[in-house]
Amino acid sequence: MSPHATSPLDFARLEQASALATQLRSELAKAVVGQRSVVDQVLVALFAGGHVLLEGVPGLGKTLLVRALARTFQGAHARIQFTPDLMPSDVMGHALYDPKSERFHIRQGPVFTNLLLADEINRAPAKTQSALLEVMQERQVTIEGRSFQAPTPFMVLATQNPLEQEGTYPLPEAQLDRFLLKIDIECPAEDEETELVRRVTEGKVGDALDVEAVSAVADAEAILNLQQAAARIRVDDQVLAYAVRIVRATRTWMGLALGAGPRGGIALVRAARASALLAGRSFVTPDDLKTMALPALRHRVQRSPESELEGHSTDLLLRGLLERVEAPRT
Amino acid sequence: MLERLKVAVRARAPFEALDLGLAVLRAQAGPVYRVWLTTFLPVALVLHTLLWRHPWWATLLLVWLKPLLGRPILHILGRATFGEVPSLRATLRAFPLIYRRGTLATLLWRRLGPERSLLLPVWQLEGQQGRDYRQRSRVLLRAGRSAAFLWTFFAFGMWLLLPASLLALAAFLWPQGSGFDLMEALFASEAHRRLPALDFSLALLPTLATALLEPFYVAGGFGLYLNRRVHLEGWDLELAFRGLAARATRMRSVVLALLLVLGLPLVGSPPPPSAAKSQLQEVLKSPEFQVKSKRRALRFRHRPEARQPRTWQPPAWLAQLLPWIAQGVKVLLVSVGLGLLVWLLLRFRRDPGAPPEVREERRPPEQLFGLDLRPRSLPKRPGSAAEALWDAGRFREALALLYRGALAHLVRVEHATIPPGATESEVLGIAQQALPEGAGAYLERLTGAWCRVAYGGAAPEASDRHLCGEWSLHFPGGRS
Repeated sequence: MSPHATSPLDFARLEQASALATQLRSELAKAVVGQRSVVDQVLVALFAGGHVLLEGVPGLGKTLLVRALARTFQGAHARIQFTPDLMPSDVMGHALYDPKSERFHIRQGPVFTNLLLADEINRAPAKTQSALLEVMQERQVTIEGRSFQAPTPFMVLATQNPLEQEGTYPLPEAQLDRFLLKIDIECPAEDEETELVRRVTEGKVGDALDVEAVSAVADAEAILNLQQAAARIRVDDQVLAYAVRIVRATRTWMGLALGAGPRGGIALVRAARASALLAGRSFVTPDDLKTMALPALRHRVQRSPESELEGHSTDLLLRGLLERVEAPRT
Repeated sequence: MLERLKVAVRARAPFEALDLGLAVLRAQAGPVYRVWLTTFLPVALVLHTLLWRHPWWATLLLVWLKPLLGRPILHILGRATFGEVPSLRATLRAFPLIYRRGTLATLLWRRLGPERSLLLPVWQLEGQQGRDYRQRSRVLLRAGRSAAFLWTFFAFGMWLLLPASLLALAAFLWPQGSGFDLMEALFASEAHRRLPALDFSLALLPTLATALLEPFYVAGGFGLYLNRRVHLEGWDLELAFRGLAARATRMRSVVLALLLVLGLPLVGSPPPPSAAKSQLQEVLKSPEFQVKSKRRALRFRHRPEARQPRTWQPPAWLAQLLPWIAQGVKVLLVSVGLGLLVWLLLRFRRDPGAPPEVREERRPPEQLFGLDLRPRSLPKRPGSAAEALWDAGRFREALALLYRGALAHLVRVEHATIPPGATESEVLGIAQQALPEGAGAYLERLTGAWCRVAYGGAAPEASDRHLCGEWSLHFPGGRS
């Protein structure tokens, strides 16, 4: 950790950072109708420097969200549709022999971008998946023995379809752990859906959603500053202990066969910091932890066969856990 | 009178008697249900409307009133047995007659008698009361008690089963994952999570069952009653003799023989035995005695040996002691029963409705966020104690005290349920429902200051000191 990262966040910088965060949020709202909590969670992941796994049926605006987000900070974005025949080199890039110059040229793959939308990541075989997950962890790509740094900020938004599990390669737990948050995208509420249909169809040809309305309010540098600011949000010892308590409780909780590892606690606190920044606070409250606990932990725990049979969802079990785990002593 | 009976009269086993009652009901279902629903539904409607906030009380009252409300059913069944089905209007007009006897008794001290269905006709059709009623019921119950008891038991079971199965059907057909848990909304242990409308409709189910089943119950009891009278008064014999007499008037040839048989004791000079025997043979050849019927019954194949009467006599001293021992055991049992009753009363005197586990759960938390919320752990006047701490520069403790006091008030006075994992904003959400507006706003400010100081590690703002002074305005009664 750099020395200045530990110094407390001064008021002016916090004001600046949270104003920018709010601006980003309102810009996104111009393109993405409703889905407020999804937008917030994606922003939290961006501020915390993490990656997200989005789960939801197709057509809920995942691509739109990525395009709009990239546009807010003039970042580059790319989209890869994962298919069973996708090779690691299709994602990372490869060396190409040029007969004229008689040399190998490195062609960088779509992974060299700020925001990467990995659509239906569970459709590609494990080899390709783990290549991508390696980039997520190391933030660098090795092609033909040479290392290339991924651009900053770098964020992967992978999507998964909860239906149509036929012929897919479900991500193993160890790899799911690399995602900071797993965000469930629900269908929009009725009035939001009405608004969405109106926006897409009024005076437009085709059904493409446009992000013209979104204007750039920051640049990559500003996002990095925001990430620095989030890292310096104060976390009281009691709050930290609360986060650890929650994560430890998942290991012994009835109905969960497998609890979250230490990485779960780390992710939870990182996300809570970013969430506090988004709320304009210079410190994390237990509320931040609680709102982030579901997205930060739901992909790190496994239901026991009994609770699966009884039809209890992971979210339901985690909610019960959060209700019982004692909020911090002050 | 008996000739007008529309039912086949013969001595029946109890289960056949019940069947007879139900057959009468089947034949007269239309008029019976018309009258029954005309009396029952308005009462149910009125009670459920008046007590719509307490639907279960309405249901209980309706169940309690069943002996009264069911009387018109018996009126119709009774009349229908003699071939005359009274109209709705006639039944309504007959109400003074129907309710003239035992109205109070059937509602009060005889309400829980398990032989209710068998004894209702004694009040209503025979018009007995007082000592006559008691004598009459004793006679009826001598052989009818167990059947009547079992019938009541069975009817009660059906009455429970019907709502339960309707509920089970609803639960089975309820779409899963519809985001609304039916059972949770019906039976959640915390009252605020239950839907009042659903509670109301749940309480309607037993009423519905009563509306459907009560005629069956009354009809079964009536069948038992009819059969008991057939046994006691020999209606079947009487009818058979009357039939014989009627035939005899038509068939002169047999009349003498009949007179000889029936009038034997009356006639002064009996015929010589041999003549009597041949006459008897002759009479027995008449068609009245040629009717053969088969009856099946179950018997033990090997009859158990008749038990030897007990010959052992207790010694004299024991015989003298036995009544004392019996008396002692009786006293012991009664006192144990009374003790149990007193214990139960003491245990549930505060909250009669709640079983012990629920009481355990509803006990307010003594610790929340690791804060001690017991009354003795708080100073008498948290507001001024906090002020003293504030002036000593111990801001964090001062705010902690105020916050703790407010939570204690919320839990102990407002009886709010606060789960252990409730964070500040969740507590605030609960408080804003439980507390008046001013106190809610105050708690919001207090929570804000509290979070800033405790989690943010910031110095309090000068205006935060007013929180100490205002505390007692919003949470009167000191350490509540």
